[in-house]
Amino acid sequence: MSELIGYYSLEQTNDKKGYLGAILVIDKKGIPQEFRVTHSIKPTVIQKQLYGESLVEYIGVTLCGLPLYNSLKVKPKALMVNQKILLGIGDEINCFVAFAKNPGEAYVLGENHNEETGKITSDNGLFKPFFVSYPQNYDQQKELDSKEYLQGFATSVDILEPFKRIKTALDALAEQENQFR
Amino acid sequence: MPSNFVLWVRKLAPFPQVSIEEIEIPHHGGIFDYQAASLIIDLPLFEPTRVSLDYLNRKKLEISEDLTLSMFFENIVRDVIPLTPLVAPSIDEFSTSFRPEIPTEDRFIKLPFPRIKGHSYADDELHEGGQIALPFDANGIDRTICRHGNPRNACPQCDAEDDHRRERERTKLLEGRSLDIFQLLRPILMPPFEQILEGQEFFTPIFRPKPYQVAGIKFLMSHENALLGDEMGLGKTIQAIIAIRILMRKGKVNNVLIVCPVSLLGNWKKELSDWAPELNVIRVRGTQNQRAVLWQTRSMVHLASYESLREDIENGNITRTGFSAIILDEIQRIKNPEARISQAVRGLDSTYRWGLSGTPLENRVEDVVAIFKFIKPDLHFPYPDNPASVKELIKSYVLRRRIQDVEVDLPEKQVNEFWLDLNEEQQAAYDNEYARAKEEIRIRGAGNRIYIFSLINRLKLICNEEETSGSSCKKDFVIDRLESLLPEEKAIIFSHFPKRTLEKLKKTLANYNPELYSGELNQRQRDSVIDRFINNENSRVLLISLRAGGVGLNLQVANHVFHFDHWWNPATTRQAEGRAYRIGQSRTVFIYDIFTNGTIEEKIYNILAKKQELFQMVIDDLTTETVSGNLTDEELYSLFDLKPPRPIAHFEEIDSPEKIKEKIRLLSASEFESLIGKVFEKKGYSVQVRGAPHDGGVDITATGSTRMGIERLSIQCKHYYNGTVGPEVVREAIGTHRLENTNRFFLVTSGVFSQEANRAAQIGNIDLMDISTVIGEIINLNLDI
Repeated sequence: MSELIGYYSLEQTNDKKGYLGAILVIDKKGIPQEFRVTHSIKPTVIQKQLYGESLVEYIGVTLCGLPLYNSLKVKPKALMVNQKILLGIGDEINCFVAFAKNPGEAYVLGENHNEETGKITSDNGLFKPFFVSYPQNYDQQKELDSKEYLQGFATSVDILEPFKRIKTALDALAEQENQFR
Repeated sequence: MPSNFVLWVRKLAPFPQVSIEEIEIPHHGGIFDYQAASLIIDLPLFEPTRVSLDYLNRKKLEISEDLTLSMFFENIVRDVIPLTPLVAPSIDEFSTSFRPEIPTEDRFIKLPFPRIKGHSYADDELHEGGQIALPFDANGIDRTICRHGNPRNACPQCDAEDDHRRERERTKLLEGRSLDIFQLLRPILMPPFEQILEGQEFFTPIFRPKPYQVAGIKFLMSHENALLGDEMGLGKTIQAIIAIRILMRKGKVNNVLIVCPVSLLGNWKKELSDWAPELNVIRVRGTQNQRAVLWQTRSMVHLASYESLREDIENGNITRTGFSAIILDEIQRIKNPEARISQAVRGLDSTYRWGLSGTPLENRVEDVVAIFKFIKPDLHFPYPDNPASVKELIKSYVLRRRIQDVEVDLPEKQVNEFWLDLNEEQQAAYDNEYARAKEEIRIRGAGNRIYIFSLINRLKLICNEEETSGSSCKKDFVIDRLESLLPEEKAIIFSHFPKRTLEKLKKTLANYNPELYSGELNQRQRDSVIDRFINNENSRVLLISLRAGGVGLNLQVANHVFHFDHWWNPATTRQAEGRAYRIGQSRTVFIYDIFTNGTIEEKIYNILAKKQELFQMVIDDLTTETVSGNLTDEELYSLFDLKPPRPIAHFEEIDSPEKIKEKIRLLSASEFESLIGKVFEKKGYSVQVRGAPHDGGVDITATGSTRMGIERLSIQCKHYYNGTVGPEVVREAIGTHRLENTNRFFLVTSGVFSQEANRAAQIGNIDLMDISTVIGEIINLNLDI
């Protein structure tokens, strides 16, 4: 089976009142293999109060992320997430989970990763190096394994680019379908 | 069975709207209805094993899709969706609000289990309080009786009916080939353009655009309004397809309408499948009802012919008029702004509006203006009669390359004219027919231009073959040449007489297993003819009606092209041979232009040689009317060694202005309009008298060619004999002129114009013709009333 990488993205709806989760699985050439998306989830005012800061994480991880991942026909070996708070999904699923920062974005040393495992370079120089964060429960070895796997993709795929595709797809969906607005 | 699972169900009547419910059935839990929570939550809880399909059935609930939808898999419906609970049981009380919006479209596929028939919530499940009265007992078994007298869950008739209905629905669904929206997203989810241009996955080695085509693709992608006018054979179709394909991947385009002549539908379909295999294409064809269904079917690309599109727009078959992109192939089809197809396509809405045409349009001001009414409706042409200004205006929207401008690796093309002598039988028949035609023209006198054209066709047919004996110098020539073809070579023979020439040739050339492509074939037959010719090595000859197959076909498999006879416009001939001489052709192409000596063909050839420039500029379609409007009487009669007769008798009668005036007085309004139409016709215009029901102020439209390009006139007639036309009529005409897409506006009356009217006309830039002007024209033109 070819190597796959998943991209899980939690986006706000256009009216900023709700959230949509989407997961895209691509192969090493960047070709999409599977795409799944949730309908929009709109928390009420009471829920916002009750959940407070953990609301987005709850929606992102528990309500959207896990069902989406579990519904995939073929599970990728690595899952990139578009927000750091979504790293929590790594506690629940059996694949490498990582959050990548955009090249040029501020990199804060001392976060829950170190220089050795956090920086990933494209061996053929095709793409800029980028930094990743891993779930807090990852040990050094798991971070290294994750890095190795991601580095394999970084030679042929712009690691952050597929998030743009997801965003474009969600925008297109929102244009056409009420349940994605 | 998993301990927890989630079902997405759709509740049927009697709820006012279709609602989606999530039913979570943990083994210790209950049922949560996200649309009308109270209805179901209040129900007695069931043991997990009791919550079965039967229960859902009785509740008139259907299992539908799950929360997430798969994009690339055929079967998106599962009986039981093994998801973990969407809402944890511990937070039930507010989880009910974490609900999805209600999908309104019906993409929920029924499960193969029996449904209760003849049962209504309104009847027995809802009582006054809106609470459900369950139609089954405490054990969950429905004991009510169906209309067949059997228990509802155990009625074989009901089951059979249900099976039948489900099968029908399933068939209908499959027939519709409706795409799930997620399939439509696939292009958006593909890698970005930059990676695409690397070509790793986007193009196969066989289907890879050439550098000049990449330039064309970039041009199209960067222009929402564009006219790609590459010379035939340079691959306009594939440039448009690739541009669309990339725009889809970029998410800028998601539904495309491609309109082309009916003969090209098959070709477009094939090119789309070669160059953009991932795009879902629906070819809109069939009966009106079938087409209506196809228009409603969701697809990335709808492919339709001009004729069916016009018909469907006029009949309201197309409910939506908005597309992300519209491509009009052979866009010169809409060059007449008043043609119904032109009006129909102008009613369509789209962000990207592209036209494709291999015909040089830039010299035809009038055509360009009409075409750009579709391509860029907001483009204002201040001086439509000034070719230079129009050219300048459209420059940034037009890309036209000629074969010699681009580095196309095309083999040599050898064009040779062959002047043959008629066979003995042909010559005798020809002489006989020629003399008879000449005599007929003499007898009929002036005003028989269309009749003369029919005589010309009769003579041309004899040049092709003498009917009685079957003798034909051209046929002999073709047979002779075909015999010298290499075994792997194929030939195309064009004629504009499909029945009386090509069908006979088909019999004569039976050894070569010829295929006949004519307008009489439907699209499916046309496709299969082309397919057989291309793929069957025994099929060596393709006979093509010039009218049906002169444009758009890709026939690189042939490298010998015979023009058995010729249409008036030499450009049509060249365009036809472009079917074989185009990209993909690897062998030298031999063109055989066949003419006969001393015949009408030679005379036409000589006239066209003189008028070639005008013809190339003006004529590109196959209508006799167009040709008729551009050949003078002198030229036409000279084909029969005659001079155009002058209607002397009439001249004497109409010589007196008073007599003419009196005759005009006696005319009805419509007769007066016809007379004015004749005046302009005689002046060399191609005239259309609209008639009162459709006029909208304009009674006549006239088109003619001038040194400045094509001139279009609107003419309004006011039959006010001895009356005076005032300024208000003129102002009204000025208003009408602004709405018309014409260069000049004539207001013609059988009376006179007041001074104020003349002043208003000067200001409003319209032309006036009063009775004296009309009489003067009639006398000058020797016109009979």
